[in-house]
Amino acid sequence: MRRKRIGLPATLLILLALTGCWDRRELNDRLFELGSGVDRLGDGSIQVVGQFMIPAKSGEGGGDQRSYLVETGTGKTVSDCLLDMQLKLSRRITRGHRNNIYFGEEMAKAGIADVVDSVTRDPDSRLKSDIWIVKGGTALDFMQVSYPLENMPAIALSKIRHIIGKTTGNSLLEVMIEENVAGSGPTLPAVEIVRDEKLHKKTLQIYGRAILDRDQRLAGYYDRMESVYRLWITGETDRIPIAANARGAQGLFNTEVTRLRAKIRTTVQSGRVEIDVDLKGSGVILESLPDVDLRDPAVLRGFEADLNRRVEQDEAAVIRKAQKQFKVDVFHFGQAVERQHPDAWTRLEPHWAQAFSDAEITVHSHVKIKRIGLQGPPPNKR
Amino acid sequence: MKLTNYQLFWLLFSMETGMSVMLVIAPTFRAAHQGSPLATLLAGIAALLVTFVAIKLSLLYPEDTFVEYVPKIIGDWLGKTIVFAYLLLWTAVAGIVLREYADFVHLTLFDKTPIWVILLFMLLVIVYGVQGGIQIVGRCSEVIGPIIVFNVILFRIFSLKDLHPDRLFPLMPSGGWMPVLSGSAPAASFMSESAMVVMLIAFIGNKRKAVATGLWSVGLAAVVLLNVVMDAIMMLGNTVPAKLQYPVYSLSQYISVMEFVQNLDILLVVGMSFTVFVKLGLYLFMTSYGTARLFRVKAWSRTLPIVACLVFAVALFPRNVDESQVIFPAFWKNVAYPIFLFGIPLLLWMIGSARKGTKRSRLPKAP
Repeated sequence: MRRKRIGLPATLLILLALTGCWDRRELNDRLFELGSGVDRLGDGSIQVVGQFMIPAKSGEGGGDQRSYLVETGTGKTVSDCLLDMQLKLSRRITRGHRNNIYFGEEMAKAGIADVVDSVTRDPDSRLKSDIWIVKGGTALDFMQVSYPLENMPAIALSKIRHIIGKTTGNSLLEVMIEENVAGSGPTLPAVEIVRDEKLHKKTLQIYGRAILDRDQRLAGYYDRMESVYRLWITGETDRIPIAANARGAQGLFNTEVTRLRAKIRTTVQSGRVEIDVDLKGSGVILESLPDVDLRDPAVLRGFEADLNRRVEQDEAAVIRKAQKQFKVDVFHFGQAVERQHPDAWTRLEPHWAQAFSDAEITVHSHVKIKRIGLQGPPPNKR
Repeated sequence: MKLTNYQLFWLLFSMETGMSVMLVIAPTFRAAHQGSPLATLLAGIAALLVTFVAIKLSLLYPEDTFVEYVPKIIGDWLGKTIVFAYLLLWTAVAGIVLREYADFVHLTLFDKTPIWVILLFMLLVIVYGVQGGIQIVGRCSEVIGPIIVFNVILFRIFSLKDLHPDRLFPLMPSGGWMPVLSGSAPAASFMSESAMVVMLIAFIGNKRKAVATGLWSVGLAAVVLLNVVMDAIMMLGNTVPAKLQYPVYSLSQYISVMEFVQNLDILLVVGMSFTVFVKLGLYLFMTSYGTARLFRVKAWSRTLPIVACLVFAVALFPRNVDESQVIFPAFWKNVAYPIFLFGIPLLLWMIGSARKGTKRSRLPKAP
């Protein structure tokens, strides 16, 4: 009896707590930010641009009205900017679904180190995000480009990267990890706004990779082929299209190389580092201009040799660009040295950026062409 | 009150896993960097040793709990003083664990709810569970433990594609053994909480299997922790986890499979709440049962509300997260672990078995 007398009020009390009134989050009061942009203004303050989903519109699709809203806020720090932006918005900014953050080129040149903190400190913000650099433009420009295929233009780039076989969502984490590795430079995907004069429109296009130096300032860019050659070494892409010139037959042929492997062997001799990069993959001929029969094993071997020479030359050029121009290790060679020569690494670590620039790097490519498609020679040529 | 070996297994496992997975990884990485997996392995071995000593000690007096047999080993006054110190320690750690739990839930789910509300409702649930006896908590853990294992396996599978196995090597860092050893201390101090079996062995039905059960249980918990540390190093590298407040929470946010298995942090929050329930249930039971025995109170359920109030007060005490998540774990690692979890039980075991030995030799030989 006594138990019942206590039990009933206790149950009612607990029922009261179940409503969760303190932390109720109504969907109607939320505004989902699917992409953010950060720009540096002339006076050193920053501007945050948000691309928000308009709840009622996004479901319908089509029509002239945009399904998203772009809003800006300015201030000294990101939180200042967010407050500035919130004061213009009738719904609470919710960043839990944001996967992409865009930095204007000016911001990247000034250094992104100070801007990342607010992203990784906020428990509602996702670690699995990509940071993009808008090459030659501002994040605001980028956010305003209309993109008819997606309700939210901010997510279009993730989809493109996915289609071309790249890992998505890891570049924010990469910035954090690389910053703690001596001599290593973080890289971020770069996007470009292209103006098509004939079609009278602006659209967005993936450019390649932006390279940051040790202070997380923009050091330069890799274009699309250079980027994908770099990703071959770091193991973050699953295919690479290569155009090579067939030597005997005069003419280009295109190969898509898949099942990419890269092996890095390092040797350290009296402080000098030698790095040997061994590339493997299997190719499929996509297009072959020369009028030769690929069913002839000798011809195919010739193509293979040409392809491998092309890969070795291009890859070496990509590495040399990092050594001479960026002067940061963007290939994780430092970690390879640490694994293979832990003793030497303790001596090399403090000045790895320099040691990397001076290192002698050789590239060997062993791509095998496995398939040639539906025909031997082009049937329409004599 | 009776516990089965199966219940003991899941009790210890659930009690050990939750908090150590949340709070141990960052300090381990801060000290050991690349050597963190190795440090965790060492910590697991240390915890097994502590568990072994604690169970062996309890088996000297199989029908008594810690509170009852310590005075028998080293005399009434000294024994009761030591037991009293243990009771204070258990109250303090229960309060801080409750606070650490509330800090986490406050951060991830309920940032506008006052923290005392979170504390109070969790405590009410635990008191409700414990007042029926330790076997209630034991039965709960039989359900909770497998759920935790299931979660761990789920995370294991989902995070496979994000792993960079090359980051695991070299296993031995260039800095030598010292960073590894100091890095193993936080994990060892958390895992060695299994020393609390000294209060539980008396309730076990089949005591012959108790040693094996305890060691398997702590071993499984160590494997889970090692698995998470390896996940952290393979996904976040060897430096980033040291800088994060809850590396595992960040990992759970990072997991994304096919674009729709996302935001798995909720599984983590729920799993954490479950393990905290078991852990606090154990501490509340031990403290109130121990207090009742020490002060010769007939019904230990009378002391339970008092202990619960004390725990609540301790939980309200820290002014910020640093006090609950940095300063107290440091005290736990530097004072509680070497003295209360390892030193005193080991000494007691040695004295106790020596006394038993002399007693046996003094007994007249059987005709």
